[in-house]
Parts: sequence; C-alpha cells; structure tokens
Amino acid sequence: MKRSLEPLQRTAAKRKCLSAGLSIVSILKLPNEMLAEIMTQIDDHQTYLALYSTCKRFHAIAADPINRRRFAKNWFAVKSTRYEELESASPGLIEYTARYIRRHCKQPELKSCRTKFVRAELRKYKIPQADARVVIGLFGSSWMLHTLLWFDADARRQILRLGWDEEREHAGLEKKDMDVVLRMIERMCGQPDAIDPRAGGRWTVETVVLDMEDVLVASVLFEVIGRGLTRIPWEMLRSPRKESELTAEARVWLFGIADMRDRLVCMCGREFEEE
Amino acid sequence: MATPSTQATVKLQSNDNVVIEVERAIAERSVLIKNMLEDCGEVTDAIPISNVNESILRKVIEWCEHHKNDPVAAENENDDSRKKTTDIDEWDQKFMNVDQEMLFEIILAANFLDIKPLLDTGCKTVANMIKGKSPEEIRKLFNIQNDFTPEEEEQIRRENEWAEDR
Repeated sequence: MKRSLEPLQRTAAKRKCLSAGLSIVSILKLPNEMLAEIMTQIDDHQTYLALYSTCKRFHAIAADPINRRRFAKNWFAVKSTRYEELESASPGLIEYTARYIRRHCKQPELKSCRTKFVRAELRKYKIPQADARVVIGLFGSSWMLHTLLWFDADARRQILRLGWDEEREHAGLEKKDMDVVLRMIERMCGQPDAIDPRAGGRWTVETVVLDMEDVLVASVLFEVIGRGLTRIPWEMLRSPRKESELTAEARVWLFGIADMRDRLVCMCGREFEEE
Repeated sequence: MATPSTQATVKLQSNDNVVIEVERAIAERSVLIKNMLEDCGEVTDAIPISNVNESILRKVIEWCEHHKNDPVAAENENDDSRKKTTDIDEWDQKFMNVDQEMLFEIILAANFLDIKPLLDTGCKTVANMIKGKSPEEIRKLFNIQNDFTPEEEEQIRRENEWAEDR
C-alpha cells in the first residue's frame, strides 16, 4: 500500500495502537474480498455508485460484475422485506429507469449481463443494433420478465403456453419482442419460485442474474404496482383459470405491462423516435 | 497446571504474547479454534493467535462471551440468507462504537478466526458509515487519496451521470 496516514493526524487511539507495537490499520489494509463484503452490504444505490469515483481500488471492486450482482441481490433482499421503506426511499426511480434506457440507447456498448443477452438476441434476429426503437421494445419486454419472475411458477407456465396471436398486437407488443420474451422466460423458468411480496413473502430471485440496472427496473415495478398505478391483474393471474379465460386475462395483463412501458417511453420523450 | 479431563477452558495467546484463558464454549465461537480443538483433542498449551494483538483479542472474546448462547448458523447456510438486513442489534452497535482502526482490526480478526456473525456485524457497521455519503465524503471518512486523473474522473462521472440526482 503506497498511502500512509499523515502522522500529524494520528489520534490518541492510533497512538495507543502504535505504542502497542501495531501498524495503523486503515480501510485500505482490508483485503478486496472484505471490502467487497462491506460494499455489497450498502443498501443504497446512490452510495454504491459513489464508491465508483472514490478511488481506483474502490472502483475496481464496486464495478466488478460479481460484486454488482451481490449488491443488487442484497439490495433487493433488504428492500423487499420492508415495503414502506422502499416506497419512501425510491422516489423518482421511474425516472432513473427512464434515464438508464436513454443512456443505453445512446451508448451501444452495454455492460450488464442481461443486456448482453438482449444484444445476442438482437443479433439472432438480425436487427440493426442502432435501432433504438427495438431496444425500447426489448427493455419493455424485460419489464415483463421481471414481473413474470414475481408471479408463481404456474402463472409463468401459463404465460409460456400462450402463443403469439393477433390480439396481443393490440397490447402494443411486436412479435419479435414477444419471441425474445418467451425465450427468456423459458430460460428462467428453471429458477426458484418467486413469492408475492404483498403477502409478506420474501423474494427468492437469488439465482437470477441481476445487477444494478435490474434493481432499478425492479424497484420501479415495486413502485408502480405498490401504488396501484397499473392494470396488472395480480389476483387473476395467481389463480388458475380455464384456458379460454386465461387468454383474455393475459391480454389484459400484457396490456398493463405495455401501459407501464408506454409510461416510460413518454418520460423518455421523443429522443428515441429521432435516433 | 492440572488439566481437567473435559477441557473447560482454553488458552489463547495474542501476537504480543499475552495469554488469555477463556471458556472453551466461548472460544469455539471461532470456527478456526473449534476445528483446531476438534482436530487436536485436548490442547493444554496456549493457542497462538498470530494475527491478533491483545486488545483486539480481548475485544473479540468480549463479543464471543456476549453471543455465546446465540444459535450457531448451520454450516450449509446460504451465503445470502445472513445478509437480509442492515440492522445491527443494540449491544453490537455499542460494541462496534470504536475508532476506525479498532473496527478494521476486529473485522480482520473475525475473518482470521472465522467468526462469521462478527465479521458480518463489522462489515455492516462500516457499510452504515459509508451509506449516504458522496465520493468526497467517503475519501474524507477513511482518509483515502483520490488517485483518479481528471480525465478518469470525468469518464466515471459520465458513466454514472444517468443516476445522479438532478
């Protein structure tokens, strides 16, 4: 460690340590694993981002995708058990998400794991990556994904069974969006069942690849759902229905998601259209 | 130096050569010591705790004493399940109310001695110190030098711009 503490700044306690024949232990003496342990315990995304610009070593640790995901998981776990806190702590998160999308539309070098996956999908469909509109569509779809994860496994399976049909077009989704979503759902169906937080349950999305950005999206969902701003028919989806009814319900549900997505697109303004 | 047939206490020796005798049950809050005792059977000599000095060792023992009746976490416990909260109980908060150097020494000792709940409490304490602070405030708090060039700083600022409060 190059840095050393300014001798004049030593406090009495430090002198006591010194007189006991000890070297001064500063936070930088902690090994990276322990710094990561500390950082990932911070349950506030603003502070987590502040670590990025503290010093090079902190940046390297905080920006490490593994630690970001650990932070996200922890953030999620803490917040999801304290709904009120989340509500009061996350004003403006819709806006954060809107800004996040805006940023990534302008900056194609995307970093998160999920986004890499989306990009891979984009390539598969031979969609030009610069097509910002499609990116919006995909982000809209990833909202669906997050929502889907929070329903029980049954609901997920039911959604999976739904094929593409004309009706869904009215929900503001394009077929290619839907296909991507379905693939992603398939992949994620192997994950542990999610729990409805309103029933006092805890999230169990541990194995899902989450990172900082996912958390922001997730928290927006919390916010939107919590305030009843959406038309997502939770109850309907949670109880098994006849196939014919399900289609209609799912349509309503998808419409609810599209509604949220539209909200975002509105917030992001016309920038997307122009790009 | 008579040793009872069932060893009730163990002796720990700090790196500044102070021997402290503690109840075996208390010392066994440390997984390192527990495993050592299990492997070696009875240990009459003082166990050298080479990375920990007397004052920190006493502090750690104080913690172990207070928490000696806590249920020991299952070994296969998921790493994430112990982190669901940033709450620290009141006694621990007082216990951790020490200067930074001591706090980091405790964290290092807890890591070395493999006392996970103490390590967690220590990390949470530091996390709470950091929470809500700006990069500059974090640097000040820990006396960290800003080693970014202005260009690097600007780049990070741009990367994080989207999340900044306006």
